[in-house]
Amino acid sequence: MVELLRVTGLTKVFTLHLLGGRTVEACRDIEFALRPGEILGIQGPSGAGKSTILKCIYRTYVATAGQAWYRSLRGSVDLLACPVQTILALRRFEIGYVSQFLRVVPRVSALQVVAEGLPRNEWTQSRALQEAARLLEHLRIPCDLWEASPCTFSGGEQQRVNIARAVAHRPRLLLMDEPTASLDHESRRLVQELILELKRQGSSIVVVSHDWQTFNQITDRVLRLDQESKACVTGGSQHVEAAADH
Amino acid sequence: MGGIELSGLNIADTFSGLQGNPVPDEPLLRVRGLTRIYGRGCAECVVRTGPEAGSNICPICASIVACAGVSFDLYAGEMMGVVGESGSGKSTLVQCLYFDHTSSAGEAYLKSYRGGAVNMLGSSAQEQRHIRHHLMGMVYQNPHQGLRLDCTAGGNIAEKLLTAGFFHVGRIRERASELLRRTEVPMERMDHLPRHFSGGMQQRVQIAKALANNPPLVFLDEVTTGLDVSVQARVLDLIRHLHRELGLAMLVVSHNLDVIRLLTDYTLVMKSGRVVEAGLTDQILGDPQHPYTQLLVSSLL
Amino acid sequence: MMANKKAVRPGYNYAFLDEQTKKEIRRRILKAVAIPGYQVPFASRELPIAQGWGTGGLQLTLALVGPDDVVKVIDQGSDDVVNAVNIRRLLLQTTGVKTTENTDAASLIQTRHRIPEERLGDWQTLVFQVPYPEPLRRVEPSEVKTREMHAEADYSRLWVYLYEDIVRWREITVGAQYPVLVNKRYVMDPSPIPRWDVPKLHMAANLNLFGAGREKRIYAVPPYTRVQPLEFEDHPFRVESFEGKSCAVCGSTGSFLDELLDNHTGARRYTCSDTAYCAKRLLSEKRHGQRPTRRTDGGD
Ligand SMILES: Nc1ncnc2c1ncn2[C@@H]1O[C@H](COP(=O)(O)OP(=O)(O)O)[C@@H](O)[C@H]1O
Ligand SMILES: [Mg+2]
Ligand SMILES: [Zn+2]
Ligand SMILES: [Zn+2]
Repeated sequence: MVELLRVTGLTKVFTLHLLGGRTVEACRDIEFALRPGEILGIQGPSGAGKSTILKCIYRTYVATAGQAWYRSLRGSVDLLACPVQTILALRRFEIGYVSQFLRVVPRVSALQVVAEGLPRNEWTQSRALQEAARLLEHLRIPCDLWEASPCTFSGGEQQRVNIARAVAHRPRLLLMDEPTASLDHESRRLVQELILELKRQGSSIVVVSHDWQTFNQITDRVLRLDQESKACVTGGSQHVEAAADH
Repeated sequence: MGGIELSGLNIADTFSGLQGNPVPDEPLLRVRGLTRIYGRGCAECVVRTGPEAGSNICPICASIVACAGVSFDLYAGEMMGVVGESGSGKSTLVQCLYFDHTSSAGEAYLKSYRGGAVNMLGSSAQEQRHIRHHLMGMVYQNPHQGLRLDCTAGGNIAEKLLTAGFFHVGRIRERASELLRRTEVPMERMDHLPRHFSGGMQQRVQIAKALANNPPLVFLDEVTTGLDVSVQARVLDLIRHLHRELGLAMLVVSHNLDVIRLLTDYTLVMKSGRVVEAGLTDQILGDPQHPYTQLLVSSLL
Repeated sequence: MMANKKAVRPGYNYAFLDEQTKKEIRRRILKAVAIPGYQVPFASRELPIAQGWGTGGLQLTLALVGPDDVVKVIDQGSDDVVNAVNIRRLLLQTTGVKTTENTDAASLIQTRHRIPEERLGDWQTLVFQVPYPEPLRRVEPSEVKTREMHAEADYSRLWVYLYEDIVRWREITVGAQYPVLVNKRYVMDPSPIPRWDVPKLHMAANLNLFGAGREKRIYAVPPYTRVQPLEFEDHPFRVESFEGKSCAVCGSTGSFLDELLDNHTGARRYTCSDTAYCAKRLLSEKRHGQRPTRRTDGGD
């Protein structure tokens, strides 16, 4: 089967100009591939560079080296090098990203926050709000909270809103960074279900997590990072698959 | 109850309506090498100034290079930020594009003006006035610049509509009240003088005026600077809301990175009259490349 | 051939002004005619009448008047008020031309604040005395700015003024000096004529010249030029209404009427503002026992 995403040689070195140009290597020579409909887990100790990988792919970080070929609906693009306009369009229509924390505008309602995840030109405001309501309902956010700003929500509720926003446009490629970090048991179960549903509908997902319990059952393969070398220990798909099978 | 049901749409459907491609078509506004020098200017002005020189004043002729060599593309419906410390050339940049100042050099093409084939910086004053009134809107930091404080709020909006050849008092008032409603200015203030309005309300009237002729492009220069925090928040919400609802392209100038983060997808960072870094706003904030941007971002946190 | 040689006072150049000045003014007039509604600057001269008494219009008249002309001078519609009489005397004493009160007989008419009721023909020239030539002055004090606004045909602020007038008073309250758009290009001040007279400028057969002495400007509405009062689609321009009123002297219901208050009884009376027109009607009635058939139209 053709891969949806192939990452090769991904390296990120930060140059800290404020510290006299000191450099910090966050990850080096990362290699992996993601097949359509697959859920890939990335595991590793804190500081191993897991978030960096996702952020480089999403272009929040500027990769120092490497490529990330993504098979978009309009042809293949290297996400690390393509024009920002392409990235913006892909973010709008094809790629979703769930951050560790929800960063919200205090005065925007949960419903709005989620609706804003939908591309404006494709969705009218009222349809977008309907869709947002449906997602919030699925994620069991009590409907009396919908009009309130998520900044007043509990951590678990906030994170569910965050996820709803990121998946509202049904991304083909979903990047999730510790999506369950702040959640209680019940919320985790809901997120797990949502991810599986997205997978069923054809999304391919890369998820970074410590939460082995939640993701053990749903990841198809796992990529392990080692803090010392900052490289992938189980590089190459056979290795990765083996890790998932253990 | 089984697994989580997502709405009837599946992924294939979501994309079937999308006819664009990952690379959108022509930009709405294309700017190349925009330069504005105050003073006589000399051959060395541009090379002797800038972020490396740490100044925008030419050491030879003492001219001020307010901005130089600024290039960017702004796409329809997009929000672009311009950030930088005060004096870095942000206002000069937008004011050149709005023809408040003449530019010393450079080109600017607007898709809706002659198909984007003609450099509008070289157009006649009359053409530029037409572009200003039909294809652009401007919201200044200082409401005195954008509003006639001795004309009513409705009169201010009417001015834009009258310029566009809308000679029907009833329809002008309909449109003005619609704009004031959108910008959350109480209708009963329509026939009052903005002189007596609060700063926040003056800004909202300015925004209504800028939107009067449905321009595809709006410039916002430090629109919240100088307002109380709670008032700032309301104005920012309004801008976000209008952007989402009307799908305008906006060029948002601010020295405040929080404003830029809240509003924009793409950002230019300016220092000493030059663009030192440009990129996705989350990248500028998350992984700034230029030493100056790193300083700017670090002082934010 | 001069009509009135013995009236001419010796020691003055023909038509008072020196030839150079007259030539210069004629040149400016030609430019003004070439660009309808555009204000042409000119070097205004001192005249033996006070400024504000129509020196601008008078200079045009002096530069134009030829020995064969028949001149009529009116002030607010009347041939007999001091200002009109003085100007007529000056013209007479420096040129000896024939003068008349009969609009139909005059080739050159100098006026202040009125256009005669009788429609003018293409052989006639009407010269207006203008106190304030700049129609944009009420919205912009700076001359540099108003010139710029004219150059760019940017009249939005004047429109806003009219809009706010309607909002405040439900109608445009501008009475005299109603701004007009000439030849679809320049907004022009037609001098303080009543609204009643404004439509007479539109596609008029005669040449209209405007002179402002103090402000040193000449402008023109050449024959058969479009002159449109600024108006809104839902607030069309309207002339003064004299409905139910008629001239107490000649009975006219189709002319601009002046209101007179009887000091004793407090009663209001109306008479034609154009006194020559009124007199002509009266005379014709006496002669033929009927009113003159030639009606003028206040509207177009
Ligand atoms: N009219 C002017 N004359 C001379 N220098 C000016 C003028 N306007 C701006 N400048 C200078 O140009 C530079 C950029 O100013 P400006 O565009 O206002 O920056 P910003 O909007 O980023 O604060 C500054 O050095 C400023 O002093
Ligand atoms: Mg500024
Ligand atoms: Zn220099
Ligand atoms: Zn009468």
